[in-house]
Amino acid sequence: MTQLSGKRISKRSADDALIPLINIVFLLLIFFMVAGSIQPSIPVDISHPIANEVDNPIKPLAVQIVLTGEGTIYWNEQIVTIEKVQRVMQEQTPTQVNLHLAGSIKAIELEPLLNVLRAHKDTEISLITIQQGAL
Amino acid sequence: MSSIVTDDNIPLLTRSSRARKGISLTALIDVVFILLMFFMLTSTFIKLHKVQLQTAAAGDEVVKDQKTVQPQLIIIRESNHVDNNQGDLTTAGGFSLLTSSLVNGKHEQKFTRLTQLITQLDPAIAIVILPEPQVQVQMIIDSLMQLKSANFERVTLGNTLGTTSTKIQNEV
Repeated sequence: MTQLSGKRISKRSADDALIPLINIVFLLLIFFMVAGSIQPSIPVDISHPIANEVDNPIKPLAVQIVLTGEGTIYWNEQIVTIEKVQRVMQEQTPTQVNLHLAGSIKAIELEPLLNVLRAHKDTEISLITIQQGAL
Repeated sequence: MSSIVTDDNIPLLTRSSRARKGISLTALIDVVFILLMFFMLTSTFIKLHKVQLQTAAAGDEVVKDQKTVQPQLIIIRESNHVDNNQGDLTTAGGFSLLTSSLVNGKHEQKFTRLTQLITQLDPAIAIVILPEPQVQVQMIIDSLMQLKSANFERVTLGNTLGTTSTKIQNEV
């Protein structure tokens, strides 16, 4: 009798011990669900230009084009040349393009890529910015 | 039904309760951990926003008084100088409104702060920003934001000055 009661109590205490763990895990889950946001990732880490007055979230399904300070162009995580961008724009004709640039890039460096994108009048070109104080 | 009674006279197991098994919490924890891992890996706390560079509204010509009006051109200067047309150079924001009027056969280019320039602009007419080659993207964004906060919706980024794609008319 004592053995059976001992086994029952140990099984119950093992389940009881898990309840605070589940509580904490659920809290963490709710925190990440509410506070975080799922956004498209870019292949390189660039310092986006800062714009505090903007409250226009990006569309995740748009084409992501990254122009680094060294002049490397990424099309949805693939390194491409300016000619390939031109070709792909003609073939796919995306309606929305998100342009990720470092804030220190000069207008003359941006000009060739921007000319290729501007040639397609139906394409909505968006420059991606962050708010000041963001990580 | 027979029941086993413990020393405290509490029935431990009955035949009906033997058939019922408690729900294991292990599977629940597994699922919750997997969800937690997913959200930890995919979530980001950096909120990215977008600034539109090309809009149909900015590209449309405005018909005013039965005449088609060309967009207003603003030049962003490379250096941070303000030329007040008297040869004095002071450090300030460098913007210029390229007017279509001719003064002694030349375009009048008066470089001033954008905040002062805004008072001379017509919100109904599209604005095209023309940066000089060494102007950084951050400055272009700042000027776009400043114009947007002054309720200028028809703003777009034009070609970089000095490149072959830029043509500024010298005559009205």
